[in-house]
Amino acid sequence: MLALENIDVFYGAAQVLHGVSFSVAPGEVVALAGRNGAGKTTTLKTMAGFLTPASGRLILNGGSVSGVTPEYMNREGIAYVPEDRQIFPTLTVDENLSIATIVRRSGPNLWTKAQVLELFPRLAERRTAYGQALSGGEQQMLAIGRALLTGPKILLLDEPTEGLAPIIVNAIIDAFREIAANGVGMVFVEQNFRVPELLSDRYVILDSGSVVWSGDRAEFANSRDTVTRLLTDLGRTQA
Amino acid sequence: MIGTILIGLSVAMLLFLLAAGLTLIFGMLGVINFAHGALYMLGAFVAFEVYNQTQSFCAALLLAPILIAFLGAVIEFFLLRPLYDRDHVEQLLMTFGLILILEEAVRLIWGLGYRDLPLPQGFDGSIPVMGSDVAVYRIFLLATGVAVGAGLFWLIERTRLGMVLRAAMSHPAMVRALGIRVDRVRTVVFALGAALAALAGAVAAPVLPVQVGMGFTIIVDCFVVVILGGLGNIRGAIAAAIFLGLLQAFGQHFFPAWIEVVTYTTLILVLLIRPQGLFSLSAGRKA
Ligand SMILES: Nc1ncnc2c1ncn2[C@@H]1O[C@H](COP(=O)(O)OP(=O)(O)OP(=O)(O)O)[C@@H](O)[C@H]1O
Ligand SMILES: [Mg+2]
Repeated sequence: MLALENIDVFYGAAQVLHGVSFSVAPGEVVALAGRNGAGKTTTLKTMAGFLTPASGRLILNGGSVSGVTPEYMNREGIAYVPEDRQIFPTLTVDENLSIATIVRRSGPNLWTKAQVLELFPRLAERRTAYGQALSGGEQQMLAIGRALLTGPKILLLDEPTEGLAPIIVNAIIDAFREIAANGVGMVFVEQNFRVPELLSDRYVILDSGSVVWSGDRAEFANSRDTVTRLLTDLGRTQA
Repeated sequence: MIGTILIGLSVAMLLFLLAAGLTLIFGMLGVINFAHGALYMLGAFVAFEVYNQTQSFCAALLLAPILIAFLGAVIEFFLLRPLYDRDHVEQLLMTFGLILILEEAVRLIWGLGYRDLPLPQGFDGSIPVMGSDVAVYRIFLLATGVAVGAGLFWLIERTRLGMVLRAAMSHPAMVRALGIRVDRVRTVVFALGAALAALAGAVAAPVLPVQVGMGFTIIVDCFVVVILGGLGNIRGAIAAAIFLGLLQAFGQHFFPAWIEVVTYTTLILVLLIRPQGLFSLSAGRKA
C-alpha cells in the first residue's frame, strides 16, 4: 500500500501541496482529478520519489519512505507513467520495453514482454520502429507497457488519455480494466471524471494543492453537483 | 598524397578517442569535462612510466587506460557527483581545477622536461603503400582507432549499457523511474571516457613528446570536433574528427601558417549556421 500522509511539497519557496493525504492499495483504482495547476502532477511525482515532501510522510507498506529515490520506489513496485510519456526517441519500441527489464525483479506482478504485446497488439506491429516515429496513442501504450514490465504493485498514470482519439482512449480503458484485474493498483490523474467514472473505486479531487473532496463510487454518484463544481471554472470563481 | 591522408587519419583517430569520451560524458553527465586533456596527458605519462618499469609497450597500452579509468571513477564519485544539481559553472570550475591539480601532480612526479617512448619493436619500420612509404606505427594507430570505434558502436547499439546510455541522453529521469541506478551508470561512463583519453595518450606517447602541456594543445581541437559533430553524437564525432584530421594534415602540407585560422573559421561558421553540429541528423534531439 502507498499512502500520502499530510504532505507539503514546495518548488523552491512556493508551496504547491498543502497537507495532502490519500492512499491506494494493490488492485484498487483511484482517480485523482483537479483543474489545471491543482497539483496533480506534483502529487504523482512525490509518490514516484521525484519530489521530497517538506513535511508529512510518504508511506509504503507501512514504513516511511520520504526522501528515497525514484529508483528505489520503482524497485519497490511503484511505476510511473509521466504526463509527457517520455518515450526514448532513439530506442526502438522493442528496446523501450527491454530497458524496463534490465533491473532483475521478482514477485507476483511480473509481466512479460509477450503479455504486454498481447495487451497492446499495435505495439507488436511497431516493434522495430523508433520511439520518435510513434503516434501519440502508440507512445501512450508503450509508456504503459514499459511501466508494466517493471512489475508494479501500483501504477501511477498522469493524464493517460489526454489528447488521444476516442478509439485509442477505449483501447487504453480496456487495458486498464485488464491491468486492474491482475491486481495492480492504479492512481490516475485526469482533469475531469469522464474516463475515471468507468474504472475507479475511489475519487480524490485536488484544488490549489489541497484535497477538497474524496469519496467512493456511491458517494461520487450522490455528489455529482459538488464534483462538477469543483472541476469547472465556475467553482473557481466562487472559491 | 597517401602519406598525408594517413597522417590526417591518424590525427583524426587521436581526436576521435578523446572526442568520443567527451561527448559520452557530456551526454550522460551533462558535464563538459575540461580535464579530458589532462587525463590524456596523464595517460601518456603513465604509459611512459609503465614502459620504463616493464620495457613492455603492451603493458603500457593496457595499464594506462585501466589505471586512469579507476582515477576517472574516483573523480566522478567524489568530485562531480555532488555538483550535478548545481549550476553548470560550478561543474566547469571543478573540471578546470582538476586540470591544475593533475598538471601540478605530473610536474611534481615527472618534472617539466619532456619524455619520449621509443616506437615498440616491430612497429618502427615503414612499408610501401601505393607508392609512398608509410610508418608501420601509423597503420597501427589507424587500426586502433577503427577497433575502438567498432567497439564503441557495439557497446552503444548492442549492449544493455548502451541502451541505458541512449535512453538517458534524452530522458534521464525516466531511466531512473525504471529502477536503473543512473548514478552508477554515470560513474561507469566517466571511467570509460577517462580510459579512452588515457588510451589516446598511450598510443600518442611514441610519436608525440610526452610533456605537461600536451593535453591542452589537443583538447582545443577536440572541442572543435565535438562541436562540429554535434554534442552527444558519436557518429558526428567520427566524421568531424576525420574532417579536422585531414584538414590539419593537408593544411600542414599546403598552408601551414593558416591551419588555425581555417580551423577556427570553420568552427565559427558552424556555430553561426548549424549550431546543432555539421553531422547531427536530427536537429531537435535533446542533448
Ligand atoms: N518545476 C516547477 N517549479 C515551480 N513551480 C511549479 C513547477 N511545476 C509546477 N509548478 C506549479 O505548481 C502548481 C501545480 O502544478 P502541477 O503540475 O502539479 O499541476 P497539475 O494539476 O498537474 O496541472 P495540469 O493539469 O496543468 O497538468 C502549479 O501552480 C504550477 O505552476
Ligand atoms: Mg499535470
